[in-house]
Amino acid sequence: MGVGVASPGWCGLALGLSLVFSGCSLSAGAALTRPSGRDHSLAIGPSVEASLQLPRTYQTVAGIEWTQSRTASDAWRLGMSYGLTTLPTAAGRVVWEATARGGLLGAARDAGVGGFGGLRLAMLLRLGRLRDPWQSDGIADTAWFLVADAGVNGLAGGGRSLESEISTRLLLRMNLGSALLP
Amino acid sequence: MSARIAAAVLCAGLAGCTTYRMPGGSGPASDLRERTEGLLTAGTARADVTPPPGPSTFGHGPDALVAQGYWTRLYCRIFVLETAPEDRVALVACDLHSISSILHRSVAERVRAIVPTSRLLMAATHTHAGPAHYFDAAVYGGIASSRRPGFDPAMVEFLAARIAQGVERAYAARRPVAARWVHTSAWRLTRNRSLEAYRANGGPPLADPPGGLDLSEEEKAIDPALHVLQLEAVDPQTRTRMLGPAGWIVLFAMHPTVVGSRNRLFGGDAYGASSRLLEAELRRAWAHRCGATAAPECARLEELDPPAAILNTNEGDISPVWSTGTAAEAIRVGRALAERAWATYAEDARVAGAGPAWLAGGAGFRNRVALDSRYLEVDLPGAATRSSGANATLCPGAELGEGSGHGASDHPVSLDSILPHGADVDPDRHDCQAPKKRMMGALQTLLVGPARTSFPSHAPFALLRLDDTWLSFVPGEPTVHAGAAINAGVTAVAHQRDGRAAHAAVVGLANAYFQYIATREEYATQSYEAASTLYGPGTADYFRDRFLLLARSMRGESIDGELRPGEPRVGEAVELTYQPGPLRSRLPGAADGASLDSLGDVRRQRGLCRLLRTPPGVCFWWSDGAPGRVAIPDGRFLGLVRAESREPVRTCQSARPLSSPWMTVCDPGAVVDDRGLQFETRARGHSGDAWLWSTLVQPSREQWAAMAGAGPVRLSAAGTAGVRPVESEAFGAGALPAACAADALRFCLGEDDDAPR
Repeated sequence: MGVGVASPGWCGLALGLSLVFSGCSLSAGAALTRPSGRDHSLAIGPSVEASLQLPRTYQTVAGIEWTQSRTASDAWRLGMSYGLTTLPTAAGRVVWEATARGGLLGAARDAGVGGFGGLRLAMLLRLGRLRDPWQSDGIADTAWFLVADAGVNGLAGGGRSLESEISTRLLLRMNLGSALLP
Repeated sequence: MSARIAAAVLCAGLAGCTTYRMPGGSGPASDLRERTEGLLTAGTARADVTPPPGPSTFGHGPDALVAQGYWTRLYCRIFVLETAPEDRVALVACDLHSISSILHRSVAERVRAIVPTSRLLMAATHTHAGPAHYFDAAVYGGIASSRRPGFDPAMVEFLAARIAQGVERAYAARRPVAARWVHTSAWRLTRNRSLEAYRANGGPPLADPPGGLDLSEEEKAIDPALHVLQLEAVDPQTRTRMLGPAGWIVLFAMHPTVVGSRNRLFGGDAYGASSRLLEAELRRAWAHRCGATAAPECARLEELDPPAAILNTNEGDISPVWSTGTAAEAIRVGRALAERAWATYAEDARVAGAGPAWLAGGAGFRNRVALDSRYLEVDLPGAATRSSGANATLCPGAELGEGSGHGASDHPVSLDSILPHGADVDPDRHDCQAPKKRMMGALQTLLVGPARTSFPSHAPFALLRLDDTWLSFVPGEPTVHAGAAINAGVTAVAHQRDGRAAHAAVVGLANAYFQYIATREEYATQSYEAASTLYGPGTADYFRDRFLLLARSMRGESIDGELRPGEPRVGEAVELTYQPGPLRSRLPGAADGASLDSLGDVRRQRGLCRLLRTPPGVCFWWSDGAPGRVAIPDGRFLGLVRAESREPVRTCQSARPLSSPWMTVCDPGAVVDDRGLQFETRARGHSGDAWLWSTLVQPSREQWAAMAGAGPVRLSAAGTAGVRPVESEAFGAGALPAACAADALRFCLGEDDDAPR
């Protein structure tokens, strides 16, 4: 539980930024998408996401995600997300997040860049031993989560007509938090 | 307007601001005539406000750790005083960091049948080992206000309900009393921790130490004033025959921060020790009197437990003289203060030599006194002072300076090392807050919030006159000089009809919390206290001005003409709203975890061993219910009982008595339990529904000596109603438990939470 910050410098700067923007997390895993249009095939590919819990309630999250679906018409996606999380108030293992997302998607066959937007609901399962409050009040702390999310997206452009899509992801998330945050 | 829209958008987008109504509003005072003397009655009570383990402590900013248990219980000591229902006041002194507006108003809402909001006077001892999470201003519940910060309405409810119950008990216990003030001084206990800022005021020292004391500059730059209000029960028929102590209120300037920021136990720190040591003497004084008289109270001597409350005064820049930061040192400092206070009574020949039939009037006790109070609320942002000169208004917004982030010199904040270094004065600043260097620049607004209620903004000022002494209840921490200026102003206005000199003292940390109040000269230095003065350099002048107004009102003058239109009137507690920091559940709930009843045989001893100390300590650990389930605030939770009868072990003394002619008389309330200073109790963790608890008991030599004659004893952790206690194996002074092994020792000292195998 020690503070252990001996001198300013990069370590101090990182901690300072962590203090301001903390509750940042990095997730990686697999995404599975199923469009409703002409391409009914399931697509699966890697997905990574980084997000921040925003001041002052830290129950608002903003993030950026990148997914490579590996289909010819939907080769990659780069999107932003914004929504709500129960992470600061969750006392048990389960955390919920609901976010809106939107961004760009690109196709492999010179079909141009399109866009996507949608809604996502995620259930986060906290991994490891649940700790008591006095065991988790360090200035910097990490927590691991298994994230299962499901969402509905609309896809447009990129050589396609507007179509809907169901997507789901399974991610492993590392959350860098701080007990200085509410 | 654009700034307001931007703030609203920022607020809505980032925080989802929710506004709440502040309870406890009440109308203006209807009778502001100067009060004359009347026969005094007083009722006292003690309210236990010790939360179960789990909330954070408060006071060391980002270094305030989550509490794992408690060392001393946290008490509010309550005095209901009156000469007539119209002047009745409830004076509440709490082992808390400070009093928040929402706490003051929430208690007021509950006790409005006894006193209006304007006559509920609450103050905190300023222990930094009290709980967080009960502040209505976002800044005290938001980022870095403590570890695991947040505002918890359940904490407000917990504290307010218990304090209100205490006020009701005190009201019901009113009885005729006589009172006297003793005004003396205490040196060598404290030192000034911001000497440069103190010197900026110029002029001679505020107080001259007596000759022969070898004091450092820091030890001279203090307010040594020690004010002691002694209340003595008198016979209800004659109202003159003195029976025994009804309670004491001691005022002194000192941060009770001997126990440092590594602490994880709730406790009253040095003032908690002072109160307990004085209370033992008040009980002993009763026992002494009862040896010579046959007052009806003497039939229930063991129940008599008059409270000795400590109120802090102008302690803003005053620290205790400490070195190790241990509980033992807190007791040493607390004992030194208690000795000074007790000497005003026990070494007074008029008291010590009084016979069993001494009467009010002897030794300066008066059964007929003047009791009066005034209360005035003000919105501080942009408020105008009556003082002339520059910065005659308070700043339109509150702000923390860079110096605030460093922490006080005796307890620097560990995060200071990552904050920008250099001067804390901004020479290029020319606005109202100049020369304050804004901490974190624009990020301060982002993190704390743009709303004016993100910082405390609505201040209650209260003035109480009790006999020849005027107490100014300041919603913050005035420095020595800022407090002295208020006192000088009040005594210049106050007058006594009987020719006696008027005395004045500030009571800090009262009714709301606005951090520090530094003088204009101190503000220019941007010391820690000055940088934490929220509304700019005119703050001390403005505060002094308000108390002068109240003193004039108390003298019978009308001050309505000097209040701006729309401002609250004297005695009025206006309707308010507030936007607290993020709501978080921090207080363990009474329904969390399994009921004690359902745990059955799971609740049992897990270990018992002896610490090799002189005198020996005993460590006991056991399985029990969740923190919100056990009975910590409901009387004795842990104590020593006789192995066979289960009766509490009573000793002649809890600790070495303070000096008095009757110091060999036994303290009738001396028991060995967790309401004293000897237990350090922790929740250690849980497995399923069973929680592991431990307590480290360090009986005094006096207690060990008494136990030698008590036969086998056990440590007992109380159950709830109908549920048996958890008891240790029997041991005794002559049959101590086995010595703790190395892993058990680490566990018992709180260095390792894993239970010894």
